[in-house]
Amino acid sequence: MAELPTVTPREAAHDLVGRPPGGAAYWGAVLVLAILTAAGVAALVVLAAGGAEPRAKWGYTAAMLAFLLSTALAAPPLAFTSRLARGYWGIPLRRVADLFAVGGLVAAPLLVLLLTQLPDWRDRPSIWLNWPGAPGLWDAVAVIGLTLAGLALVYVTGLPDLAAARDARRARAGGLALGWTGTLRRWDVLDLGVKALGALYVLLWGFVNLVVSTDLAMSLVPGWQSAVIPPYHVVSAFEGGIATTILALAVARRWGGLERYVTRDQFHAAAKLLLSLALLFFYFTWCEFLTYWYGRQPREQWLLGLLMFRSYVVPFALAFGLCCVVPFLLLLWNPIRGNIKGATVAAAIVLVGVLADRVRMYVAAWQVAGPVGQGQGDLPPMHLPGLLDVLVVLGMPAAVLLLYLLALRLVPAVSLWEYRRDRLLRVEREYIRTKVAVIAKPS
Amino acid sequence: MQERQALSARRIDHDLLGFVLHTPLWFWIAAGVLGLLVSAFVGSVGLLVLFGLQLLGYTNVQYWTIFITHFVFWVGISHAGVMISAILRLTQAEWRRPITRCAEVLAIFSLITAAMFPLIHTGRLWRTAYWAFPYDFTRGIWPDVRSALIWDPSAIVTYLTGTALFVFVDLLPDLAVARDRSTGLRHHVYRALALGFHGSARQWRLQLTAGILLSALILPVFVSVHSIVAWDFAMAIQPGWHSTILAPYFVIGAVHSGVAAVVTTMIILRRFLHLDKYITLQHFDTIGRLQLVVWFGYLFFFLMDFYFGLFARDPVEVSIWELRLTQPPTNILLFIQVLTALIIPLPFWFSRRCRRNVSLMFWLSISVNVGMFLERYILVVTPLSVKQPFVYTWSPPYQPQVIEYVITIGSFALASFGLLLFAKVFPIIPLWDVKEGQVNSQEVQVGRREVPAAIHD
Amino acid sequence: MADETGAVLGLFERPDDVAAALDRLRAAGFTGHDLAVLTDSPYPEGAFGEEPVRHRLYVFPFVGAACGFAVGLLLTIATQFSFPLVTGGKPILSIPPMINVLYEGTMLGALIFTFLGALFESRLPDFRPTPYDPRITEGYLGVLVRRTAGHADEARAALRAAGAFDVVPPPSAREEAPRALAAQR
Repeated sequence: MAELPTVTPREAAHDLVGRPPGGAAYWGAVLVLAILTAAGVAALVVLAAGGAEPRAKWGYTAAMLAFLLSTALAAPPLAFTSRLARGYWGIPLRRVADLFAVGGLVAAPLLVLLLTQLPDWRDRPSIWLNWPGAPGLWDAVAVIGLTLAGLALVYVTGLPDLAAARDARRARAGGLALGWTGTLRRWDVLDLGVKALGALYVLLWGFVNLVVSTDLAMSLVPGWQSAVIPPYHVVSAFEGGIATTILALAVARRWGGLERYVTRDQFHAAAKLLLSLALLFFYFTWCEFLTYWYGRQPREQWLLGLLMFRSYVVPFALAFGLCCVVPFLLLLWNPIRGNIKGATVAAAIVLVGVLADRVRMYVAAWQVAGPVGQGQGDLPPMHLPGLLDVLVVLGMPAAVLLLYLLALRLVPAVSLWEYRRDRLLRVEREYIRTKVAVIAKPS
Repeated sequence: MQERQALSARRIDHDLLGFVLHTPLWFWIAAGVLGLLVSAFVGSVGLLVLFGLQLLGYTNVQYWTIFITHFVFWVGISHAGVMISAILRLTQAEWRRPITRCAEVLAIFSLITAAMFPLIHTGRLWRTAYWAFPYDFTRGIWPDVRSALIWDPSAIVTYLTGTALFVFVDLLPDLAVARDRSTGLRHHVYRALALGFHGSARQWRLQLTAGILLSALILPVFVSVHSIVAWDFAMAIQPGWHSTILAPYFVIGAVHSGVAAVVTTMIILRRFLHLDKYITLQHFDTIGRLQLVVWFGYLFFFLMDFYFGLFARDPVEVSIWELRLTQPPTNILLFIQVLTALIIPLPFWFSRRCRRNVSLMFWLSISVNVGMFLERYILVVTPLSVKQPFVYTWSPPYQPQVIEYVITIGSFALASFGLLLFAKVFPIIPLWDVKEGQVNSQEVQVGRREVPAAIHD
Repeated sequence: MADETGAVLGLFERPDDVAAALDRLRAAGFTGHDLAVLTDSPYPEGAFGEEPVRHRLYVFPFVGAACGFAVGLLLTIATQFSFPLVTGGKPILSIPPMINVLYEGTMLGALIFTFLGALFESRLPDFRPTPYDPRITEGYLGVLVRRTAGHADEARAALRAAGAFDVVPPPSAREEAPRALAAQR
């Protein structure tokens, strides 16, 4: 049976907004992440100082941008999905997922930096068709819009909890509450605002996936014009977002002291979604592979060699195995799917797979990037990471995690107001000779 | 559901078995009209067999035309049925109860209609068996599994079999009710079909578990079937068809048209079988919101197909889009497609009042399917059209002939006729599912308000 | 096959009475396997205090999938080798196209076996003359005591004491029920 919310409202207020996170483990993590972030930023500065050429050196940076888009920035759509479906299982998971929107503060400057390193765009095969300002201006607008939407989403969903923190006499958080009081009108507006901002975020996120996958990958590779890549990117990113959320939930339980709030139900529901997305990953990969393989056209055979079977065969095998095969084989079994450890292990595996996939696409693209009209040439060997690339790979996710931890000092990892509402609408009742969970869904 | 009513089992049996056990006059009229149209369909196919495909508007290069459009269209219609039923069953959505079976049955008859068209299209229907059936009829030649056209029979047989089994398992408890409510020959037929189902806890638990398992199994099949249909086109290196996105584009288009078809079916059944208490305005509200979400997905894929057609500025691909956008009558058809499938429905689906307006939802669903039919037509015919200038022929470009219009109308009559006959013989709304909804319905007190709730098993 | 000619069926109006009837029957010495609750729709598991249902339906899809896969593999490999002609530049044994057909075969096998498994685990078809009453599909609930083993009177007494408004006569009278019901309408 579903694990029903059992913590009283007063206890929940004490646990979640009584005091901000702290302690040796927290500050230790902040310190380590800050050091890694600084190292990553320094590596980017060194790369930028060296100019745009050779473009291959930007491959891992582009891969990290895509990785952030496919993990941290892909988590809020999961929260939106649970809100849209009015799934009770999603309530403790929503804030954990929404908070990752702060990753936009890392992704936006990173994308702008990469846009300045793109080769000449005139007459290049792209979705823009020589539109003025494309791609730089519009891609930048998109990612800045996404960042602002994400921050607005975090802020609006956090308003009632900031007010609760204010009432718990926490001055810094209280100032941000803007005098919120829980009148009926404000709750109605909040509900509408959360859904509208969530929808806006998802649309912008989908659009940013489209432009990043086309402008920073496809348009750079001679002869690559696969229409399935943007949706493939969205689907694999959503899979990464679910995996990121599962891992964050596991950390919240283990080190955040939130075992009473984050239960098996969240892991079970997210694991089911992860299983579906693993199958969809296979489906989109298969669409591209089969269409290219079947026609036996030299242009397409070259692309298969570059992206799947020769140059980047190792990242492809890792991506396919870890995003599709292994999660499928694990999550097919209900005991694993419904188990917190099982879901967490599967999520960790998927994250590694997503990283491998982004390395495959973006490092390959920047390695072969060149002037418009250049032919496909010989297949190059895989471009391996150097020290600067490793620092960027470590530093950028560290920056996102650092911002996440700092944000937790303002808003709790589990939404207090949504938890309290869930408690009103989900009850356990005696039914003849058994106990049942009863779930209300007001319109 | 906010609008649910407390209904006794006896009331439910009476309402939902009424049409099965008693025959109103309109049934005979409808069956007569549909039967005539189906006869016209069969007759037309007979004429094609007798006189050959010269009766059609085929040209030297445009040989995949209206029949293949029908094939894709009807496979698409069949999709949402199973998708709605399976996904809603897996997510335990309460609002699924009255609509799952009509959606599944629509899927079956749409698929049967779809499967006829590749056969009709070949001209000599029976020879398809030699070519597609996995048996060496002559000269040691077996089907070539490397051909995308051979994947189709495997997919359609799997999907049809799976859907039929899905429907039968779901129907078992209702066959038991029909057995208990009927006499004479009908009683014996229902008794045989009910297989002795008597409603023990074990049988119910297996019923629910089998429903979940079959739903989980049929969902990947639903994705694969229309993808395989799409690969009939995508595997060819014909510009305009050879695109990696065709498979998911077809699937999302199928969902878009299929959900609209389910809405059409729900409204017709509600009207003629007096099912207002079961198919409520809340159902249309919810399905309208589903259509909104699907709309966004369909728009995304439609735009991807458009943008990536022009992405590499390949001259042939560009000329296909020029044909679609600038040359009549194709550009007029494209305009109608975008208007009916995309532009017209959207603002209405955003409005809760409009979603709860049954007449409006009916016409919107028709509009979507008009647009989706044209979408398939444009997608199938126009890439072949660009070859026309290079063919040494005096024939004009493809234009459908009278017989093709008759077969088109006949195909809609065929699917409708199948659905009508099914609804006459078996309850089209699951009695046991509706009764379970009554058992599970609860209320939760929040302050002064009693909020509708349901038991979550 | 169990002899169910001694079986007894009690009809109830309220679910609580059904649970009380099961309690009384267990107290009278009847075990869980002898008892069954008959309803016209599913109730939450364990609602009447009945024995949990154990089944192996989950095995059937896997077996079916394996069979379907094997048949698909045989068919695709055999057809390709039986007429080894390179078509479209693809190798004689082309694995990607095979995968599509293998996948469909696997799913078809899984679906068919799941269906057969559902029937098998439900013990259907079952046309044995067990006590049954069409009023169950009108919304009444039935408690079936399958094997009374000479204690039919105790079973009937327990059912009536729990609130059964009718105790259905032995199986020979079952065929009268639909006609009686039709006469009532």
